[in-house]
Amino acid sequence: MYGMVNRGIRDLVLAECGAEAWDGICERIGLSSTDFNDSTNYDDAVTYDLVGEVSNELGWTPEDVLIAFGRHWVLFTGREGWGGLFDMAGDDMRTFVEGLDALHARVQASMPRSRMPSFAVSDAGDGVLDVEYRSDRPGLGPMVVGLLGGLAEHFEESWTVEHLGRLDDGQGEHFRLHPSPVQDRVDAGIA
Amino acid sequence: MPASLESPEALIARLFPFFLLFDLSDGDPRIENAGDSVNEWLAGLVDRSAVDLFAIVRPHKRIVSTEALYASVGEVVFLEHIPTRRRLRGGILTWGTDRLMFVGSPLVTAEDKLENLELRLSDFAPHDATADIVIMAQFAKLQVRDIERQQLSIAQLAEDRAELDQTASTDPLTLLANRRALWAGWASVRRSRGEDATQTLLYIDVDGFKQINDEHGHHIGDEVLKILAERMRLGVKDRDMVGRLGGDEFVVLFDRLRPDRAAEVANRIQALLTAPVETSAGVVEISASMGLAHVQLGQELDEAIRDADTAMYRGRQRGRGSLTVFDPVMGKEREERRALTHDLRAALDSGEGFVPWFHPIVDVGTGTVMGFEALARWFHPTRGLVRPDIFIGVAEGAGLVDRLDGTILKQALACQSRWQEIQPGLTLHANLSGRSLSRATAPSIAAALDAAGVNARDVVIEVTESWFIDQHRVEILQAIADIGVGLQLDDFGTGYSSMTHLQAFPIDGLKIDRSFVSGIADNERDRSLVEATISMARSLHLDVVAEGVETEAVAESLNAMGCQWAQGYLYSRPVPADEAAALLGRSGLRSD
Repeated sequence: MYGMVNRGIRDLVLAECGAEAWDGICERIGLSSTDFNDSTNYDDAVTYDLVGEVSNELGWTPEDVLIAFGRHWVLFTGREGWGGLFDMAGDDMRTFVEGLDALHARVQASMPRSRMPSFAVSDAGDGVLDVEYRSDRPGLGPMVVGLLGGLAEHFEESWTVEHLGRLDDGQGEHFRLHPSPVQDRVDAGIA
Repeated sequence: MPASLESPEALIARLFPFFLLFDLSDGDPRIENAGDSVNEWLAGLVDRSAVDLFAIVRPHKRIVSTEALYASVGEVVFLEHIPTRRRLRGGILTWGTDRLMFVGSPLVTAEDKLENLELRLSDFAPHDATADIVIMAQFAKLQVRDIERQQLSIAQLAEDRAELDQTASTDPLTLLANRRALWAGWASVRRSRGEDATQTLLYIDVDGFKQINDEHGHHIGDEVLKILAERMRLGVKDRDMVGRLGGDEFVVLFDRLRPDRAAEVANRIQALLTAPVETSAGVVEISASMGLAHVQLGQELDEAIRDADTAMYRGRQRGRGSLTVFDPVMGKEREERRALTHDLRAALDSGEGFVPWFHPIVDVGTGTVMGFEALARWFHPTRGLVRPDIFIGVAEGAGLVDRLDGTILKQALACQSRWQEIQPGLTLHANLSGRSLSRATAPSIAAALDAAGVNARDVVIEVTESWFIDQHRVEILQAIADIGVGLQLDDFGTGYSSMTHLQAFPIDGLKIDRSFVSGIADNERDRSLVEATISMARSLHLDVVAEGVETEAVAESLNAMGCQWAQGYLYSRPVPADEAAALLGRSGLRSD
């Protein structure tokens, strides 16, 4: 993955428990440097190792780490100068997720070694949206939960994210976005 | 609807969301239609006069007119929307009769952000690279930031490295160069000047530094070292290198110092060092012994230091505060000393070569042998008898003196054990070097006494006066006294003779040094000193032994003064054990 993903994880850990914890994490997984280049493509193993060691450090499950990272990613990329792209992609949750593939396609021109995920949005009735997420990277479903939650927060919309599990074709994960009142959002940890 | 079935207008609208269709049929260009994106972006375009809304700004500035638009067909043009000053970039095509079509995109630069232009990605056709330009510009900024971060990181790394190098090459106490830096400096000079060039090296050792530590504490010792280091730094040129080898040992590597000027420079440094040092505990007087060596850069630095150290050592033997230039003869002496050290260690390991000789201690009045002082003798397998003043110094230098003392004591006690059957109450005096005394000494003496079956009260341990200077050692002496052996102050009068020593330490007697005793027959001053010493000792209930009695006149004087015990060539030279045994029980002892 490109280094900006790992820097996003670093940013999360620095916010949660400080530089010393981050340095310890890097040392334990054998990283020679404690920072990353945004524009360098790193082995996926680095990212998975980081998630595992952050889990140990924070005492969270790896799934919780990924959820937290997904939510943090929205904040991080916005702060790191990619906020403009968010605004270009859409003005609301639906158009944004629908436009993610187009956004990724254009970003890929600048990051040719990236392997972008794909999102498809469809109506499931009663304002409910189905989101099909496809990626050749396994195990990142929880991150999408956090990402969708973070986006809802970004667009100041009320959605409850439900993770329905693997897609029938086995190529990704199935999520459902439920329009939710504010109290539900609070319960879901989105507000 | 499949693309192949789309109307041309629909196809155009999908492929070029920013198209403008101009109707030129009535002479005044009118916007007949516009793409969804441009219509939303610029608002209110359709059915408006193009002349009112747009100007052509490139390639040639002109107002929009039918003629101008026709003249632009086939060219890349920039259209500026007059109300908003937003620009479009594209080309103008003919479209049927009396119509022209502009197809293009918003004009954006790498500095623009689409969101500032109030555009979305969905406003652009998939093939339109305009949005890509903005994203690529964003990515380029990301890469620039990466480079800046790397530069910062490299700069930090270089700074850290420099700090680490500084720490690794600096003595933390004095901030002078440490061994590592000295060795590196030597190698560097050798590389630049060649191995045949010579270098002058000054070795500096602070005299009596241990005493400073002992008397004032190590923190004051550290203060002194820091001040001296600063003085050394001030005493040399910037290009010279001053380093601390450890403890109170320093070296100066002079860069291109003429040999004939070296002594002058060294003397100047010595003058700086010997100025009183003001510490937080008061003023401390300092002297330093120095050795100078002119060495070839082809030599290893440790050899060069060894030469200068040898010169310093030789000078110090003559007295403190000396400056001595290394001479190759000294090197030979050093090798000699090294060989002796080797042999001495081997002799101690094998238990052969070292034996006690015995110097009688007699009753001054009767000349009867009352005891013996055991003195170490070394019979070297090839050199023969080695003088004690040579091998004791070697043993002390090599840290072997405690083993030497132990070996002699053990053998002497064995003799004492046998002799006591012949002459009960005979006293054995054994010398222990101050350097070998420690907390382990008392248990080791007790074990030797047990092994030999000698009563502690028949043994006297002699310790030189100079060792008594340290009040901290009273515990060690008390432990020895607690065994029951006697303690006697040797060479009294030559060291720091002090009533405090006699009072503070658990001693039973003293030996008046020969330098005072030998003159008492014809030197009034010596006689007065010895008489006063005997009188003082008597009042303190201390035994007194007079050393160096060589004439009858001296013996008679001592007897007249009331000195009970004496030792000297008048009675006997030190003799081997079998000859000593023959002296037992004899009275009126005199040398043959």
